[in-house]
Parts: sequence; C-alpha cells; structure tokens
Amino acid sequence: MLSSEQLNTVETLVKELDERQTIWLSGYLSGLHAPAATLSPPPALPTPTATILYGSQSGNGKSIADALAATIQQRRLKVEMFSMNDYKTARLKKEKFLFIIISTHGEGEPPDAATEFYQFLHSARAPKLTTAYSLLALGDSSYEKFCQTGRDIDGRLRELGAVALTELAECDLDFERVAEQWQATAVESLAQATQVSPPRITTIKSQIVLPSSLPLYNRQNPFHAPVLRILPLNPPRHTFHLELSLEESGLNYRPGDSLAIFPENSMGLAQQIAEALSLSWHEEIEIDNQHATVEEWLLRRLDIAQPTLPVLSRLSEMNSDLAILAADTTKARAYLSGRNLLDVLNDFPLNQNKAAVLRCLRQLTPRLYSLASSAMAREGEAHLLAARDVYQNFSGMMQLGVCSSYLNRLGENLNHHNEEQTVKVFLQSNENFRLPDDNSAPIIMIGPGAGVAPFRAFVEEREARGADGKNWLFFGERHRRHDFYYQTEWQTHLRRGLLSRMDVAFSRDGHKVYVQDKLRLQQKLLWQWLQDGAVIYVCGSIRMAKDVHETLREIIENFGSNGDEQLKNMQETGRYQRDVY
Amino acid sequence: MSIDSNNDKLMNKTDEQLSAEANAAVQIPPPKTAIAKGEELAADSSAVEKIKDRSDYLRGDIATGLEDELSGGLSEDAQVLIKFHGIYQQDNRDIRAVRASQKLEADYSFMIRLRVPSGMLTAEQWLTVDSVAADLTENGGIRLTTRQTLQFHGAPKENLRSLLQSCAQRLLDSIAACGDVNRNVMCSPHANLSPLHAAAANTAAKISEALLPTSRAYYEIWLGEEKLAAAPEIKEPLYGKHYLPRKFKIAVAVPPANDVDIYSQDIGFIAVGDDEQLHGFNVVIGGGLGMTHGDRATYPRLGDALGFCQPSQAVDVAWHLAAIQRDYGNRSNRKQSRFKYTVARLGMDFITKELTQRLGFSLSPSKPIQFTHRSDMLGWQQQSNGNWSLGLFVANGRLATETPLKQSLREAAALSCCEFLMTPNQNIMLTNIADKNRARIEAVFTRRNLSTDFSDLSGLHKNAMACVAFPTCPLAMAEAERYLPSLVEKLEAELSAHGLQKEAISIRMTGCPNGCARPYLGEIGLVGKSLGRYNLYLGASATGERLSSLVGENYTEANIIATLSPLFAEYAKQRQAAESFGDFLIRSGTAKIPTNAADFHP
Repeated sequence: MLSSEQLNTVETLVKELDERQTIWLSGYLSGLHAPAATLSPPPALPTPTATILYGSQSGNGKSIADALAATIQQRRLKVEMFSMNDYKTARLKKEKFLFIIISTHGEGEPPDAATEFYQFLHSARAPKLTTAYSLLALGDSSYEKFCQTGRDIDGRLRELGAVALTELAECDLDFERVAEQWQATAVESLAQATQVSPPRITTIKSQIVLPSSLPLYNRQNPFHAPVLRILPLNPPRHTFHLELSLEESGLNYRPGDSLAIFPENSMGLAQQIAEALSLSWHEEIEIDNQHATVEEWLLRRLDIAQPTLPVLSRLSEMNSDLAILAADTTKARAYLSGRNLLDVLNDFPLNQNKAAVLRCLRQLTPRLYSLASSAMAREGEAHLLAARDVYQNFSGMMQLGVCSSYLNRLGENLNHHNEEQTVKVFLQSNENFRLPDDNSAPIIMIGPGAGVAPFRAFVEEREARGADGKNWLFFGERHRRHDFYYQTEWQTHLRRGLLSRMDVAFSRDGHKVYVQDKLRLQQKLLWQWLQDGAVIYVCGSIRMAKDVHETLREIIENFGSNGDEQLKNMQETGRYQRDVY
Repeated sequence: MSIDSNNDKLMNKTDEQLSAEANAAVQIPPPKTAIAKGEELAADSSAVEKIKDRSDYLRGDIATGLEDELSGGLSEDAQVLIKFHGIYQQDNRDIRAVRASQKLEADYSFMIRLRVPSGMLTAEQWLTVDSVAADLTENGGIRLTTRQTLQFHGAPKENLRSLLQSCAQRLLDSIAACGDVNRNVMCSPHANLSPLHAAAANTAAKISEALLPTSRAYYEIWLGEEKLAAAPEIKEPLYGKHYLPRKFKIAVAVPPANDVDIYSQDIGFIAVGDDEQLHGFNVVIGGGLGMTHGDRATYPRLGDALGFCQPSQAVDVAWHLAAIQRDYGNRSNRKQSRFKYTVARLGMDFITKELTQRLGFSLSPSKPIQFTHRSDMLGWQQQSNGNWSLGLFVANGRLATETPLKQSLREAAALSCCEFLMTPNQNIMLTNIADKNRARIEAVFTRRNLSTDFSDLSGLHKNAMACVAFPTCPLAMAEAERYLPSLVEKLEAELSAHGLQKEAISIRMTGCPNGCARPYLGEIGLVGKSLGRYNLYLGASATGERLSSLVGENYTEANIIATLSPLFAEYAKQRQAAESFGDFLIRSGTAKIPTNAADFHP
C-alpha cells in the first residue's frame, strides 16, 4: 500500500516513539478519516483537565476553541470544551485551568450563548475561584466598547480570585494573528504550569489536526464560488440577492448556517491611497511575514475604508498632530466617524516610510451572511440576502459600505458587462440556530429586514423534508412596495399552505409599525402556538431582538406565566433561538 | 298597443310643463313596471358573470382584500368588482419585468374615476379633488377624461378609503364610473350655457341617478356604513344580481355641438329646442367604438335613430333600454356583449316594439337636427345669462402635479366665484363668472404667464385626443398619451407648410382598439397594434356622423407622416369651401365610407 520511501519514513518515526506516543499516533491517524465532526480525543491521556469555554455568535469563537483543544491534546493533556450555554456553572469552582474565548456584541453586550454565564459570574452566587485562566476576547474596534465582555469577564475572574495565566488577548475583526499568538502563549503557560514536556511532533498545524471536522475550504483557504445571479432587490437601497454555485466545493451547509464573503475594496480608493503614499501598484511589500503587491494589500487584504482607533494610534507615531488627536479618544472617535484612510492621509500627511502605513492597518475581514436557501431544495447553490450597508461620510454624503459597494460592482460586471464573477467564501456553521428535528413542530420565525434570510432557507428546507409542522413568519421593513424581500415567494408559499401565516410590519408606509407590534396584535394566537409547542426563531439586529424579547415576555405575562422564566426555559431547551447581530 | 292612463297624462302635458319638470331638481322615481330578470346564472355565462353572481351585489372579498398587508393588490374577483365602484387596479407596466426579477409583485396602484354627470363641479368640489390628488395619490395628478369626468391615478390600496371618504364629504362619488353598469352620463357643455344646456344637463343628472345601482356595497366598503343584517336589502330593481352584460354609455348632445360623439353612445339623447327651452330629445341607440384587432365579429358602430321623446320621458326611455340590454345582451362572450351588438342582432324594429311594450307608449318620429362641430370654445365667452365662461385647453386632459395650470385652477377655485365644467374634449371651463370677477380670474392665469387666449394653438393640436395607454392601462399595446404630442408637433409642421395650421382637423390616438379616445371618429385615427406601430384610419366626418375606415396597417411614425403629408397638400389645393379634411378624403376617394366590419379590419 505504501511506497518503500513512505514505509521508511513511517518506520523511522515509529522507532523514535515511546509506547504512549505510538498509541496517540494511531488514534490520530484513525481520526484523520473519521466521518463524524465531533472531536474524538486521543486515548489514554493523563490529567489534569483543562476546560475551554467559548461564547460567540458567529462561529469564530468555536473555530478558535477547536484549534486550541487540538493543540492542548497534542500536549497529551485532557481537555473538555463547552459552549458557554451548555456549561454547568457549578463546575466553575473546581476548575484548574480555564480557557475562555468570548466575543462582544453591539454596545458591549455578551452574545446570546454567553448571557447566562456572564450573569452568573457577575451575580452574588459566583463562587471564590482558584482556577488559572487565559482569556481571548473577540471584538470590533469600530465599536466604542471594544471587547467589553472579555474585559468584564477578565476583571470579574480576578475579583473572584482566579489567576491569569496570560494577559488578556484582544482581537479585532482580523483575529487570526492575535488568536494564534494567544493560543501558543496560553498552551505554553499551561504546559509549564502542568510540567508537561512538549511533544516531539510539533509541526502539526491546527487545521491539519482535525481534517475530518473541517471543510476542505475554510477561512484560510476560501472557495472561489462562481456567481450565478446577483439581483439588487430594492435599488437604490442596495439590498442584494446573491446566488452562488457551490458545485464541487464540498461545502455542505444547513439552514441557520452563514456564508462568509471576502469583499474587495473599491479600485478608486485603493489607487488614490497608493498614490497618496507614493507606492507603486505592483511593488511588493511584506507585512507580518506575508509578501504581496501593493495592489493585493490595498484591494483585498487591508481595511482602508474604515480606520479604527487602534489604527489611528498606530499611525499617530508618524505625525505629531495626529498623535495629539489620537490621545483624546472621544475626539478621535468623532473624527474617524465617516472617514476613510484617504481622508486621514489628506488631513495628516505621513512623511515616513510609506509601507509602514500599511502595517498599521487592520485586515479586511470577511462579511457573514445567513444562508437564504436550503441545500436540500437547491442542490449546489447557496443564496444570500445581503442587506445594504450604507453610512454617512464626514461631509454628510451617503456612501456604500465595503461589501455593499463590492456586490454592487459584482452586479454591474455580471449583469451589464456579462463578465463571469467569483467570490471568495467559506462556511460558518451555527448550531445554535437550527430547525427542530421534529417535522411536526410548529415554528414561529421573526425576521425583519435581512433577518428574513435564514427563514427563506427554513421554509424551503421544511418543504424539502416534507415537514407538516406549521410555519408562521413575521417580517418587517420600511416600505411594502420596495423592501418586501422575496414577496412573491412568500405569497406563493402562503397560497400553497407552506406558510400558515405571515404578518408584516412596514414602518414607513404611514404608520410606524414594527414586528413587535404585530406580535402583540397576534398575542392570543401566538400564545396558542406556544401551547402547541412552537419553536420561536429571531434573526436580525440586536435592537430588534431586544424589543421582540421584551414583547414576548410581556405576552407570556399577559397569559399569567412568568415571562423571564419561560423564555429562559425555552432558550435552554432550544425552543427560543436567536441569531442576532 | 295599450297606453296606460299615467302616460296618457304625461303626453297631454304642454311642452312648457314638461320642460319645467325636466328642469326641476326633484328626482323621478324609477319606473315600477320592470324588475330585473335573469336571476339564474346561465350555464354558458362568462367568467365575469360568475364573479358578479357570487359577489353578493358587488361586495365579494373587496373589504378583506383591503386589509391584506401582504399585497398592494386585490384578488381577481375583487379586481372585477371594484370597477363597479369606479376603481381599476393597475400597475406600472414599465417596471413589471424588473420587479418580477426582484421577487416583488407588480407595482400595483389604483385608478379612481369619479361620477360627475355633465362634468360639472363646484369650486369647493374642485378644491377637494385637487387636495385628494396631492395627498392620496402617488403622482398627485388629475386626468380629465373623454367622458367629462376625472380620474386619480396611482392611489395605493391603503389610501382608497380615505380618498373616497374625502370625496363623499363634498357629495362626490365614483359609483358605477366603470363596470357593467351605466357609466358617467355626459352632456354637451355648449350653447353658451343657455337654459337649454341647463335643462339637458339636468336630464343627464337624473338619468345618472335613476340608473345607479342600489346596492349599499359602496357605502359599506368605502365609507364605513354598517351592513344591516336584519333589514333585507332592496335588490337591484334595474340591474338584478348580474347587472348589465357590459359597460353602458349614455350622453346628451346639445346641437350644434356634437362634442359628446352622440353616435358612439349606447344611448344618445340629442336635445331638440331653442336656447330658452328644451322640447325633447331625438334618441339614438346602439353606438359603440370598441373592437378587437383581427376579430371580424367586432367593429365600431354608429347609433341608429329610435325616435323622439319628451323631456320627462327621457329617464324612462333610458331605464327601459338598459333593461332590454340587461335581458337580451350576450352574457357568454364579452366581445359581443355591448348593446350595439344586441341592437344589430335583434334589429331596430324588435327593439322599438319591445321598448314600446315596456314603456307603455311609443316614441314619435325624430326631429331634424344639425351638428356643425365637435371642438370646444376656448378662451372667454359670454354666457346667455350675461356671466362669463373661460375655456382652458388642457393637453390630453393631463393636470400633472403642481404645474402652473393646476396651481391656477386651485387658486381660481379658492376665489369661490366660478364653477368648473369638464368638457368631452378633456378641457376645462370655468363658468358662471360674474362680470366683476372676470379680471380676478384672468389675473390668476396671467400671473403664471398662462394665456387665456388659445387662438395660436393649431387646429390639430386643439382637436387631438389620446387615451392613457402606457404605462398604467393593462390593455395598451402601444403608447398614446405619452406619444401623441410629439407626433402632433411633426404633423403641425407639415400642415403649416400648406397653410393648414388653423384647420380644426381631429386626430385621435389609442393604445388599443377598444376606442377610449374614440379614434374611429377622428378624421385621423391611430389605433395601437404594438410598440411604435399603429393602424391608420381616415375619413371620419368632422361632426362625428361618419366613421373612418382602415387605410394602413402597422404604420410607423415615418409611414404615418409619409401618408398624411401628400394628403394635406392635396387638401390644401383641392378642398371645396368649408370642406373638412374627412369629407375631402371621401370625395377624393382616399378613404371610403365604411359599410361593414371588414372596413375596419385588414
């Protein structure tokens, strides 16, 4: 089966191994082709146990946790991994080594999956801790409360007596580099604390460790998906319906999952910045050991549209005026609002090493979109609903965000110039947003705006499964005439009985009506559905989800139950699932 | 035949008494004799008949459809039924395909056509119409129609109720403005608004009232009237539950003007009398212009003379003729269901006999009348009562949002010293302006640099008429209203070259063969076949007493101009004194007098 050369290599390797290492390797090799996505720990591992907790909405946290678990296992340490909402907080006081990966949402709030843990930790019930811990915080530095949840948890753990193994690591949207460094440091600290020697096999990279659980294409190696169709749904408001081909990608998705798209910056802005920095377009520049042309950096790799505070403070070393501005966070934040890198360069000429400017920028990060199609219903295709991303620039002009303007250009090229287009994508699964396995369970879907996307997938999937459970959809937007995403499809579903009911709230058609108003209006029926075991799904903005949550609580109370308790209970049993951003 | 005593009495009244009765505001009760027949739905009934049958007297699911937030439109049944309430569901056809690709339904909106007998509105009513258009429709415009009423376009479903409620507050409604019922009753506005005109208009109003549906559906659905479950509704005594087989049009002409195109109506009443007094009406029946391309069983038809009736008999005559059409009209094929086909099929003798039996009296022989023109008198005219009227040219009847003309009309209305009258040529007249107020009204227009003197307008321009067509009319095959002005401009250049710019030549264009702008009665008629292609009809008389015939098929603009230009040249050289363009074309043999359906079909 093996060539003589291969056989030699194996024999050489095996001779070097001790008994436990041989057993581990055999486990590893069989794991290479294990079909399941679950983490199968190598056999016969020694104590002590490390625990990994992750809390994140997008799935980035999970992927970091996966890689960390694999690396810890390489050190022949026992490790257990939990999503925060599955973790029994009673265990907390017994933990020896705790690794936490936590994201921050909106105005400094924990993700849904971490709310309970977060509240427990900050409550009077939280125990004194003896654990050593290391914490990685995920965030977005364009928000004021960057990594706030991570900082909160870090502070609280210290208060409770926990000892930090490493400094708190804070990641921006381009989290990979910081996450890798954190992982290396954290594992090293753990190894030292547990006095375990490093394994002899050290070259295994995280993504090779668990080949069976990771798709062939991922964040590091995105799939170039051909664009089948791109439709502006409500010009000029730039919401796009995007149809991609996933043929031969091996990417299998389920309703509730998201697809990440790597956008490109606008050519015009990229070229102007290159010019402002006197960089030639094809010049090669090294950043963090990666070599690429100026074109590649400015078009595809770096965020030039939205410089953040950390970027500004890094740049401030090159201009004293900028340093003064950057020192005042409030002023700096106000200044950055609606300004791109070119605006900053125009205001503060940076007269040092031009390439150094690029090193100050953060990476251009992929945008996540809920899949709006069912793979079961549309073989080989992935549909996305990309909501417009529009902001007001500093001079008051409306500008398209990076991804919206990227999709806009894609659409132009495909629809008007008939040029084939591809987009770089990878899959991000979301186990916290899944249809019930029970096909007869009724579901209530609340998805205003682009939040309706996963529900298109849900309804398609329910049909493909032949599910006979009732489906009720709440949708809201501004104007019925222009912003009723997939209107004709919903109308058809209603006619055919696939949708049992649909309630809509359009906020700019005369009366300001929102989905929560419609929920309230239908509370009697809604209560009835809940009695019948309906699962509630909410997708969309955090603000909306809050209003909806409050309204659901109110409705439950109106019918004589404890709203908080019931919603909590429903959340725990998977009967109330949210995908909010 | 027997004549009952009641009618005997009527016959013995003097003309003076009769005309006084006709002028009185009291409403003549509907005749007691006939009640609706044919309550059973025939097996071969058309789809529309079935919808009427299951509609519970024009209710259907309109009310629930208005509450449905998932669509800007209504159900198919409701789309048929709202016509009886004066409303059409339309959509912007320009963007249909784009919206379909955006997974959006068609961009539905609604057209509301008011019922305004004789086209007369008070200044107060005009202000309501103006503000309703601005506040409750998409584009804020008003369209004056060829039946002397007005339409609002682009009202979203949500606004329909408030729109009709606002109108109702000023005693305006849209009942039966469309649908298989008697439509808006027209009346020639001319004769210097003499007492004769007043008497004729009064008859028009009475006919309109007497032939209204009696169903309370309109009041319940749009105005929020409670449906009285306990009290059984008075069933439609004229229409029955299936109403008429097709639309039904009645007009009153006041010679010498035939601006209402009296021979194109299902029933035409031609006023006979002098300026001071109405003597009665010549009745003509069975006119109608609609046809279908390529369907030789369909054709335009001019009305036939039925006889002369007294002013007081007009309502009864109209009522019973409508009832005859109700009972004998074709209900299986809507392309054969207009009264004109019933008349053609049964013959005038049969209709006369049937009518006499139902009325209980017979009509006397028609009186001689003469029509001389169909155009409007624009500019300032003195009425016979000494007051003034101002005729204003409104191109294609379009009063778009906030044009100086629309603003001026609003301001004139706000002065409360005039009334409004919409003409059959889609123009507007301000009437009953006292001498002392003439300057104030004039100033409203001159302040916006609008002239009240239209003598510079070419004859062709003044006599141009087009239907709405694209983008909103679902039947349109070609442009009309949006295109005609540019064609007129090109033809004006040709006419000027031959010194014909002042000639009142009528040109009429429709986007389909259904005849809304009465194209077969235009001296130049253009009927849309497909985008940019028209059938050319020539040879109608200037006074509306002779139809045109087909001269060329699928003509482009170049074909049209190339055909007409030499004809203009010949006309300029060879015309006889006061000979109209249409008459000349017949005499010169270019066009022929149509004698059968084939003359309209290629």
